[in-house]
Amino acid sequence: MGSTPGAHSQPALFRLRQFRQPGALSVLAVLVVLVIVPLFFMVLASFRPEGLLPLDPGPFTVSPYLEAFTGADFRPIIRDTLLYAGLGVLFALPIAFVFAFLTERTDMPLRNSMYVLMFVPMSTPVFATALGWVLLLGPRGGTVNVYLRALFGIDSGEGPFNIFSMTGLVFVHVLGIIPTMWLFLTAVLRQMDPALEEAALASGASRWQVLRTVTAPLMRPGVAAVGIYFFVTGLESLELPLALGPTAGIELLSTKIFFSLLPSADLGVNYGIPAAFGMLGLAMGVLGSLIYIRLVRQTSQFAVITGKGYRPRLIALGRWKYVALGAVALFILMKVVLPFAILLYASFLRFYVPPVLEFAADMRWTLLHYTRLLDYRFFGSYFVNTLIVAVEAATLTMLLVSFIGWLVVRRPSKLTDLINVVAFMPLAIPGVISTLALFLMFVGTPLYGTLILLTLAFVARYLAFGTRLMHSAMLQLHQELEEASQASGANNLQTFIRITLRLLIPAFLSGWLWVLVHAAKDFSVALLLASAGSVLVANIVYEAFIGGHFNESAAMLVVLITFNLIFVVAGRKVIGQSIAQ
Amino acid sequence: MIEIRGLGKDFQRAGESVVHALRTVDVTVERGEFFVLLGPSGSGKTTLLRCVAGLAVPDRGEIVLDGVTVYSGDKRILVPPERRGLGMVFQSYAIWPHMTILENVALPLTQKRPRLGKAEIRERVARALALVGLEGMEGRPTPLLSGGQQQRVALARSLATEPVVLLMDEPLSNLDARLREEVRKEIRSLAARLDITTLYVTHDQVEAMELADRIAVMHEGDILQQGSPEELYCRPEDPRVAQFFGSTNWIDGRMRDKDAVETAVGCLAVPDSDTRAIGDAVVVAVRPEDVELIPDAPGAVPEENYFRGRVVSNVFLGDHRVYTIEVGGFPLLARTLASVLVGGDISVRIPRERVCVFRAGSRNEIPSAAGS
Repeated sequence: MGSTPGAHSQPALFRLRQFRQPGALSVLAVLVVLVIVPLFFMVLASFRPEGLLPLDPGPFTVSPYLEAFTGADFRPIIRDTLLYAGLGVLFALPIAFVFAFLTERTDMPLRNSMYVLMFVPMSTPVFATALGWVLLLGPRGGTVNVYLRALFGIDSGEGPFNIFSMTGLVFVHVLGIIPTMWLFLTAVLRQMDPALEEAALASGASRWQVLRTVTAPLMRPGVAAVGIYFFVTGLESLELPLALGPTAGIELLSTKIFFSLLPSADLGVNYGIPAAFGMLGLAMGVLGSLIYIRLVRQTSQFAVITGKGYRPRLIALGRWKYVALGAVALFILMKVVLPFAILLYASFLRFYVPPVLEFAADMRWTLLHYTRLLDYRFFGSYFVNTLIVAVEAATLTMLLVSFIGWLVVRRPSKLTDLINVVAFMPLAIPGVISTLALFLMFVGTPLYGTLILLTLAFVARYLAFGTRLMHSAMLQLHQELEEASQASGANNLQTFIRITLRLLIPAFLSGWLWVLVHAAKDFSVALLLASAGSVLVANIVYEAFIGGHFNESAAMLVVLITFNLIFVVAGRKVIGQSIAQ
Repeated sequence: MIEIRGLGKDFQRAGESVVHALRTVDVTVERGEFFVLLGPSGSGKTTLLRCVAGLAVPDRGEIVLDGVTVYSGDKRILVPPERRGLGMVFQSYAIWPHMTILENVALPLTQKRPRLGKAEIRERVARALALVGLEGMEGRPTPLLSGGQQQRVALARSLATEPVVLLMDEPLSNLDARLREEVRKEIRSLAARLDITTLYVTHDQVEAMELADRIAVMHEGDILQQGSPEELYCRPEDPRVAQFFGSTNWIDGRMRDKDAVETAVGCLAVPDSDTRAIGDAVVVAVRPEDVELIPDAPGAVPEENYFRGRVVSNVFLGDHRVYTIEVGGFPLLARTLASVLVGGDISVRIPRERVCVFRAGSRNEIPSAAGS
């Protein structure tokens, strides 16, 4: 019985309280710099005349707003942006909902494989899908168009479809958002206690009546919230409008900001106009998010907590199950298989010709696009840059949000409430706007044009996702596991590293992987923030695309997609093992 | 060994009024004593234990462990949990799932200063595991252990550093009934053998009575009474204490004399009391096992607290029976081994020294969940 309580020599220690304050304060400071200060710079920039940086001395003016909002292109931009985001949700939501319902509530074959099937499209760049569909539905050489013309004997040499149109934009956008939307909707479906429906069935209602009177009203706020969320996401979509918009003659808010940031020969810097448009986008995002928050509150009032024994009765589809499976297969075909196949095909051709027999003689097969990647400084510099930024972003984001999760769950205070609010703010800010704001904050500083700035932009963008993930992982971690460590004599830091972080590894890894893959496939941050010193794969792909070298961009996209797929597959395996342990 | 003086802690919930988790608690646990904190959920017993461990921070008062002040609101002293040198067993066991049994039990040893050698640590782990009957299981991974085994690992881990004070937070509540009884006995004998000072939290009065040298009954952040199990059972100072230990007949009445109460059952002779005036409204508590059934024998001599009644109903509970006897219209519960005829007349006797008298109205404060 040797040991006695410690602290014989040191009196007056209020260490517990001392520990949590500096930790929480420094996290809050980091978040404020990442999320709020850039917006402040954007506000400043929107009131500065041409040629002035946000902090330069000189006059303030409202002329950027006047110029931006009275321009001839203002009305079409707003109309098309709303049309694009709105129609995207309108078409994607029913399809994603049907897919989610099929996965969660029916006996559709392969429903358990949906998670793998849907994660593949989530990790492919939107730009790749866009380029793939350009090659498939381009008015002249689009493969599908060529076949259709041959089939119906149309000899106009164009059409019948044109990807370079609002319809084409919305079509590819819908394909792009369905997988993530599906993921959100499965969560909404799972939140609902199937007992509520079964009770209605038991009281004599038919399937259809139950769907109409119980299921639909209960799910309405949740589904609407998902719709609003993707409407805001639509506002920030840059890659797709950039790939298809200019040829179609369609300009959206995001592309307007992008093009007005590009330095032009005759004009000096003019950040007032992009900042003014940024303020408009921010207002739309905040408005959408306020509606979103209202709806989510409503859902959580409805939410009936279901325990582990959640096992809804699956609806037997009978013969219809093949129709259901066919619909999912068609989607995967359109979203992944066809675009990827055509990219792969194009990447081996010296010049693009449609994959049609009559052109077989013109097909010049080559490995040139791949071998050129080797001396193109692609692998040496751009690819490494992309990798560095993605790994840095994933690691920094996950370390930060793990600590935030711990603070919020284990050391709740007014300060951590505030941290939570700031960490979720990026959800309300369209990504293009937050990146624009970071640009305006750092342009003219030494940090501009470095990989660090790109990394910070990604951290800011994936902060909300990570915070949510680690928050729920933290909630599942029994507090006594940490307390037992403290009672065993380990201090806060030792406990956090040896117990908390160690047990959070599965969640940490899957979040890390998610951020890594998303950062690697993202184009908007690279296009808005990169400069000569920090060129990423995305910039090179875009440049090749703009220069008309489709085959080259196809080869680079194939490499990028392959890289992402390997990471997803290998990563899932590692996570599976770490969970098994 | 453990001195808790004037300890208080409040919780301020958002938008609600202040909740007094602990009001003003004074407890002294002697060296080597097994002390149980007993109470329903929300009574503050776990908060008190966590304050002693350092896992919760009180708002006022003082805690002294083995002569060292680990918390003092006035002197602004707060020793963090890792420097209090305690052993603690948690309700969920809190066995770290990513570590083997060896690593779990060794962790507190690796925190000791001056540092212990590897061999020393292994030896002390082995000793701790032997104490709980898990010899040679060092290398086992923990997630596959049964509840009982996890419980033992948790116990071994808390004892590994040979602490002078052991804290236990409902350690048996996750075990099934048979195992609970077995582990209870082991804990009792282990604590006695090691002569360790134990502070133990439970809501189960049977567990408390079997384990404790002394018990403190807690209710809404207050200690109602502390004492040996026998004192609490036989001489409860508060109706809520009586309610907590077993079932009770509650009979309303009025003081007729300083040692007699007029009730529905009749005039009940009670122990002498100077604290109540004649005419005061009171409530009387009589344990069912203290109600003696006396089969009607012609010519029986009427004794003190001797009443006539009728057997109304009978519940057979295996090792005993509970009868409801109607006496003067009052349904009196009686617990006995004997068998009497339902519907027949019977006489009951209640020994004066087993009757407890409380101020009227105090029974309304009894939590409905407690008792039985």
